[in-house]
Amino acid sequence: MNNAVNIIIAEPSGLLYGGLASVISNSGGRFSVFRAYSAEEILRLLTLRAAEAVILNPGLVQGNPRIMQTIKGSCQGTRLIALLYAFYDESLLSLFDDRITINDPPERIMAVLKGGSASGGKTDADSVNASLSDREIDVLRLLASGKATKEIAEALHISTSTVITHRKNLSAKTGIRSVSGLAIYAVVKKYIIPGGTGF
Amino acid sequence: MSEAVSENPFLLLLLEHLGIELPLQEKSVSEVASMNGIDRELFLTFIRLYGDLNCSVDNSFTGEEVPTILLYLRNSHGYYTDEVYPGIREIILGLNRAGNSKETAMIEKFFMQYLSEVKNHFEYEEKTVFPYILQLHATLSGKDLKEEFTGYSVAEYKDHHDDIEEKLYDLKSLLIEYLPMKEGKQMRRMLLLKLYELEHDIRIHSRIEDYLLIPLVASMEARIKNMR
Repeated sequence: MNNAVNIIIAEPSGLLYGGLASVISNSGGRFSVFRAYSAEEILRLLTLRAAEAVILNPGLVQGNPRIMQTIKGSCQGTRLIALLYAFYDESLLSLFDDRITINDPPERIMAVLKGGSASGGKTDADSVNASLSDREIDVLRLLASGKATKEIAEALHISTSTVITHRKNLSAKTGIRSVSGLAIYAVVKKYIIPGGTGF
Repeated sequence: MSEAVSENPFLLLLLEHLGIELPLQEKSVSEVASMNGIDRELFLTFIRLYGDLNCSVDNSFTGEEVPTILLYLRNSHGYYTDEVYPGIREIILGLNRAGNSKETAMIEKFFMQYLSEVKNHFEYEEKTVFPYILQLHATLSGKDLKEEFTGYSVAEYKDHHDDIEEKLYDLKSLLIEYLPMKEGKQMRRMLLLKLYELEHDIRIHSRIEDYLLIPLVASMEARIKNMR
C-alpha cells in the first residue's frame, strides 16, 4: 500500500512535538504526522481522517475521563499512546494502549508505534497480501451499488457498526477510502459488473 | 531567497500564491517579505511548511496577517482550478482516447466528481468563510465597528472543512496499484507526477487552514466577543 500511516500527536510543548515528529519522519516509514492542541482537536482530526495512533500527553485529558472515553469510542482501531514526562495516576494510564517516555530512544518509540500495528491488525506488509473476506466483499458490492450503511446492514442482517468495521477494513486493505474509489476497485477486481446504479 | 528556491523548487508555488514575482535579484528573505508587504514571521512560517510539512506552526500571530493568508489561499485555489485540474483532466481524456477500457472511463467520472466537490468547497470558502474573516479583521482594525455579524462562526467552517485530499489519494492508489492499462503508460506516469505535485501543495494548503487560519480566527472571534 502506498498510503502514509496517519499519526496524531497531542503535545502542548512545541519542542517535544517537533522532536517526536522528526523521530517519526526520519524513521524511514511512510507516516503523516498531525498536531492537535487539545482533546477536542484530536476528535476533530479523527473525523477528518483515520489515524493509526494518537500520541497524547495525559495532562490534556487528566480530570476529564469523559473526553478520554469519547476519544477511545470514536477511534476504534486507533491506538492511544501516552507520552510521559510527568507522573500520572495509573488509573488514567490504564486507559491507554501503550506508553512512551521522553527518554526513550527513537528505536523504542518506533517499535511501540509499529508493535501496535502488528498486534492490532494491519501493517503495510500485511495489507498488501490481505485478501478480502466474503463478508467484506458483500459489503463492497453493496457500497459500490450506492447503498447507504443502514441499507447494507439490513440487507446483510448485521448491525450498522459491523458494516462500519467492514468498511474500515476494506479501506485499510485496499488503501482506498472513498466510496466511489472503492466502486472502481470493485469493477477492476471484477466483484461487480459496471452499469449498475451505484457509480 | 533565491538560494532557498534553488534548494526547494516548490517555493516557486509559494511565491506565486503570494503574488511575488521573479526575478528575485539578490534579495534576502526579509527583503522580499517587506517589499511585498508580507509579515516576515508569516513568510518564514510558510517557507518552513514548504520545507517540512510536519514543522510546528507558531500561533503567536495577531490577526494582522489575515489578508496575506487569504491572498495565498485564493491564489492557490486559482492555480488548482485554472491550471492543475484542467491539466490533469486533459491527461485523463488522453488516456481514454488512447483506447483504454471501461476502467479509465470510470477514472474520468471519478475525477469529475472530485472536481465538482472541490469547486463547491472553494466556493464556500470564497463566498462565505473568507468574507466573514475579512469582516472580523476590519472590526479588529477599527475600520468597521458598526458591522453586525451574521451568527456565523469559524467552528462551522471546521465542520464544513471537507477533506479534499482523500479522493486524490484514492486516485493515486488506483493508478499505481490496481488499474490495468494497455495503452498510454507514459500518460499514466505524467498523470501520477502531476497528482504528486498537486497533493504536495494541497497538503500545505490544508495545514495553513487547519493550523494557522482556524486558530487565528478563533482567537479573533474571542477578542471581539470580549470587546462587546
